[in-house]
Amino acid sequence: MKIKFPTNLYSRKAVEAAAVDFAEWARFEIIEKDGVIGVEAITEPGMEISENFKEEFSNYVLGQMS
Amino acid sequence: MNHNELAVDVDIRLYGLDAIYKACYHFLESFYIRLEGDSQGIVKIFIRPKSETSHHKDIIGEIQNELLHQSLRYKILNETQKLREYVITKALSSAEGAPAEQSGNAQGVVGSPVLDAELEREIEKLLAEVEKVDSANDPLKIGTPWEENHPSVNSSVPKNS
Repeated sequence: MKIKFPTNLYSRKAVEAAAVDFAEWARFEIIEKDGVIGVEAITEPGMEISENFKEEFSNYVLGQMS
Repeated sequence: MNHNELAVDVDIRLYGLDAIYKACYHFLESFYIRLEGDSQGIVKIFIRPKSETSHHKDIIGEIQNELLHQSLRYKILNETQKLREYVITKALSSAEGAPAEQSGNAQGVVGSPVLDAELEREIEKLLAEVEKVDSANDPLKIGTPWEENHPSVNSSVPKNS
């Protein structure tokens, strides 16, 4: 599952903080390139995550910005 | 734009990015929110309810109100920063027993921000009035420890063996 955050509105620090707090559900790879912070959420085989996971994660990152 | 998603355009020059973050935070529990746009110009807030019970119709108005609210908070915060720092510095200095410097200029406390001389005199006056409160001026005995006001209750409480 891939999620993108524009660097002009989201900080890498917020994304990394969210990745730490969501580590129970997935492993995250974060790459910053061309004005975008790309996050790939990798789950364990057999582990299912909800369809709203991406949005919940994005919300959490936004919450870290305030 | 996703299905059932609304968008609000916000001019950064009017509200500030911090106010946008704070305003969005207010709605994160009930809505999914994402931001796109130019951090120097117009930012789009995309918002989608998490469930059908979220009040969808009024959300745009609520966001706009919250943006104003947060923007005003930041404005006041910035305008009163020096004053708050001065008061806190003064209070800490008094608590530690350090003598306050005689203000021959606008800076009355070591290390405190520079304030207008008249404002500083006003603050000194207010602090002096607070320190003057004693039992005669404290009819409700708010400044008196609870045990002094209720000695009979303390004596009736059984002590643990």
